[in-house]
Amino acid sequence: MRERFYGLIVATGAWLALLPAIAAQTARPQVIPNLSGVWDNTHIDVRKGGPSEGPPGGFFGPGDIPLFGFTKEEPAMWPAAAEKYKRARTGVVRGPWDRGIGELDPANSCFPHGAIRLYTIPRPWELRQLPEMALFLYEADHWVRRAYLDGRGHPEGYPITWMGHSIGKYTGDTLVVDTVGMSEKTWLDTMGHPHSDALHVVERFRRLDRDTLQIDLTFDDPQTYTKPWIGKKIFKLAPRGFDILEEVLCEEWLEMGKKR
Amino acid sequence: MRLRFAGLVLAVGAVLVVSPGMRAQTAPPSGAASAKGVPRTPDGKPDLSGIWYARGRPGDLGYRRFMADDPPLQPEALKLFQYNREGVTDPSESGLDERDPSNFCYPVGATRIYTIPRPVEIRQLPGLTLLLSEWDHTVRRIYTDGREHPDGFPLVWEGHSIGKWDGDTFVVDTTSLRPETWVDAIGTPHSDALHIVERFRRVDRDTLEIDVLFEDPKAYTKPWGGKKVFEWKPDWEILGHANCEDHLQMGKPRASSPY
Repeated sequence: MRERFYGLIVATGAWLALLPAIAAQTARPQVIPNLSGVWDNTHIDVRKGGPSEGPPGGFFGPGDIPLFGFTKEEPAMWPAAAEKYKRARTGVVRGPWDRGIGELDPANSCFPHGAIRLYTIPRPWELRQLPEMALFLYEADHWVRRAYLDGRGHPEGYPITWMGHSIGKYTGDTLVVDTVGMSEKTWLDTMGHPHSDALHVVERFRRLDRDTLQIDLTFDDPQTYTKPWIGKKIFKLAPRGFDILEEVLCEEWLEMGKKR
Repeated sequence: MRLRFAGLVLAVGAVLVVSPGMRAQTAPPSGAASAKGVPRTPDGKPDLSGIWYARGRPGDLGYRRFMADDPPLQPEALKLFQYNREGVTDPSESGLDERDPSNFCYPVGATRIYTIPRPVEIRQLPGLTLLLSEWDHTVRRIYTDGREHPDGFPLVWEGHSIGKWDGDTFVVDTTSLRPETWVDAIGTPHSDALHIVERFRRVDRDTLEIDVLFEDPKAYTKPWGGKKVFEWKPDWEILGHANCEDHLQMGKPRASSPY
């Protein structure tokens, strides 16, 4: 079965190689990198076996990147944001790379995580590339994000939403996604970094090898951070049979007669 | 899962092959059209992909329910149905808000989305068809890789769905549904024994029909259901919505840290 799997990968490679010839009569054929798959880091810990300190997979993921954040370097914040972040970090018990404290965590009060923070929780997510959009399907709270690849821009007056508005394009082997309009009610990451509605994120998705996806992120939020800063996440391809399951935030608190 | 992955890899190849042609002709992204204007996927099946919106208006008799008559309910389910509609005399009306699980932030379930004025997006991928509702950003994953319903699959809000083609009709079989939801907007209850068979047919480019059949020997005296008709909305976007988002409030912790 393993041979067959590799065979198929080679077949895809062959299509990629053939593509320029097939498209020879059309101008500037675009070779679209195959980034689709279920991306996850929690299965790595399962493979290692044994208990880990802290969250599944430990406090650091592939590339020695904090599980709950995007970088070990502290971005420079304006004073109000720095104060807010300090409050979110005061009282953490599992060390400097622990998640922000629960009482101030919007997700603990059933707020959606938001598009970017979803990379910093131990749950798999799936990327599906369609001709006109990239679909992001997160296991956490069954969130869906659409990055439009049809050349449209960010619409004027688009409402502020949990996922924001995303547009993207392919540049060489990289999918570049540009996102604005994300609600400031969320944390940027699970460490508790704040952000405003002015946040603008550029994500660059690149497959380093068959099993490895790297996302380079640029965060630009002049209301919160003194200058743009960068982060990185590395995800591993989930093994076959590792399906995205259904998860609903706060479902254990559902009760007839009680709204949130 | 192996089959599904294989399907995925092959499909990506197919998309790559198709895409230059599509660009050249500036044709819609769903592939070549048949005589009736129904686009088809590279494997020759009708392409159901697109954004769909239920035909009619919420005041129409057939909008919030699957059939004009009340469903054939077992005594216990009938009591619950009558409770959910206590004092409601207009058959086209919804069940009572104060008895409505979704009003208390419960997920809406698999089929109720067909009876509310919110669009649904279908994305037909090799090995997997996605049914993405705007309401509460629900995701139904309909596996088309040949797998069956697994033994011991837990009860979940959207159930476990598998799909097969019967000619040009996409037949979806769903089990393992949590019993707290209503199957429609009028307040029809169900049990954990609910089994749903949906038959999707794109009758022309702009029209999708879904025949829904509910089987639940614990709640219904016999299988029942009806047809819902949807219009293609090529210019629409699915917007972000989260159930009960108006009631979110910091300082009302509802969860402990799971990780």
